[in-house]
Amino acid sequence: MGNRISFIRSWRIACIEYYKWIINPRMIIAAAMILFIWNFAVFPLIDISKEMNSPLNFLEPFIAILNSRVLCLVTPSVFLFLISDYPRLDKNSLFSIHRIKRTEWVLGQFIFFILSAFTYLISIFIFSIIINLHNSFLANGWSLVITRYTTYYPEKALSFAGKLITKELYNQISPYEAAITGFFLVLMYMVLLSMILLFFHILNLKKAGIASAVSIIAAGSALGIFKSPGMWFFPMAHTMIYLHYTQYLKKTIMKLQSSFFYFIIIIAILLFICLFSVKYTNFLNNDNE
Amino acid sequence: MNKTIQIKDLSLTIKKHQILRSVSIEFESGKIHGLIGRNGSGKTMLMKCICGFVRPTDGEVFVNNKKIGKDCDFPDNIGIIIESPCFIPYYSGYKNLKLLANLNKRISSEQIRQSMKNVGLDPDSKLHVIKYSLGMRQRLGLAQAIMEDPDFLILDEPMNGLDKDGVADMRKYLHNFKEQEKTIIIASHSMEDIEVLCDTVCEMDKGILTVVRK
Repeated sequence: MGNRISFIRSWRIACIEYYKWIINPRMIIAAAMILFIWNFAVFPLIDISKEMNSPLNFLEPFIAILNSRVLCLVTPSVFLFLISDYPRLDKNSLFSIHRIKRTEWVLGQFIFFILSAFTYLISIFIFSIIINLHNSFLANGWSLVITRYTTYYPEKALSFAGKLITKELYNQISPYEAAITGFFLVLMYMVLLSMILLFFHILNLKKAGIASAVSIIAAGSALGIFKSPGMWFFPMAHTMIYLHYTQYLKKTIMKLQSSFFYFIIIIAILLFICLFSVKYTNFLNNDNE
Repeated sequence: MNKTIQIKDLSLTIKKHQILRSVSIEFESGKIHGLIGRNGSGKTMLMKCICGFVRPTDGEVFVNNKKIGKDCDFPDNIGIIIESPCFIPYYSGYKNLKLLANLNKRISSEQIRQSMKNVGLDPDSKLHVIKYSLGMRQRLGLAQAIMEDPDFLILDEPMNGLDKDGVADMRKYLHNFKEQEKTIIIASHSMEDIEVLCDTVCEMDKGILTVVRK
């Protein structure tokens, strides 16, 4: 086999894991999640669009999902549920593991986490835009529904739908930038949660991994809702673009680049520790098929 | 090349529970070595240590003179069945083996097909593994263990779920494998299998290994 790490072997391990993940019966929860976000973020926006008789930007429902104070708790929690038994070590995994190196297995898991998080987010993206695509425009600008709703209907300024996309977003950043930046920040958040599971698994402390990831989601969301300065220690605040800006001032509260660095650095540190520690890991906790 | 497995003073403790206690033994090539013992006596853990899945607390395992965990992560060229084999349920037997073989690309598609034929499975069958009987899964497990023509076979309860013909085929295959000067370790609860197949027999009891027949 030689001493060189083969990325092709890691990629193949990732593909095997990905296939097992996709056919996992708990994927039904992802379908329930789609229904939930439709009811929670997409339908309210469509309703006010009809009320104003004005189209939405096609990306606005997706941006609303990424920046919702409630969905910021639900979206990662559902992903964590879908990924919670990974890295999965069933009896089939042993057949793969002994054919590769331990470090290749870690890299395979890392690639799998990126693939699974990407699939999860792209599904949310597709299902959030598809439902109102016929009544949306593609130009890179915010709709009147977002920017003028509270002006036209001041009595509804505090309604749930009126607060889905706030001034901190539409005064500061374009919809395309908000969607693309938000997508990648949330993607890295998901990968970070997965890496926490991998890190504790490699230390043979799998249950502690789930507890830590849940705590990080809960604490980050709570601090984010109250806009406490401590929220920047947790990943959740870094994924929510509106928290980075004030309503009108050009000066940012937190630079978007800093949030990217935050994720990249933590993920890189966790990956490095996993690659180093995996040589001491016991592959013995067989999950059932 | 002497294809031996040497275990020196191997101990394993997991969560304060001592599973293996100073196990020392050498498994020579060209022989079938039997491992017997009650459930929980440490047979599977010993096999996992040999395969490199579990790192011992103390002691060393050498396979082909390479120290596991230092010279290599897992032994090169080893075939394993640890506990009942599992596969991706919605793929055919051939596709499952192809996925595993693709990991290190040592063998051709024809060799995969041949290994399936050797254990009495049809490589052209489109039947998904989820519809396989227990015996067919066991045969597929053996096919994945032998397909890369390994020097070592580590088999934990390989006869589980096999019918009479399956057991006879498996015994015949293992005898052929032994004649090629390869090393086979079998853990089994069937004394008949151990009697018929094995050249040496060791017994595990509470993590202690005793040679019963040399």
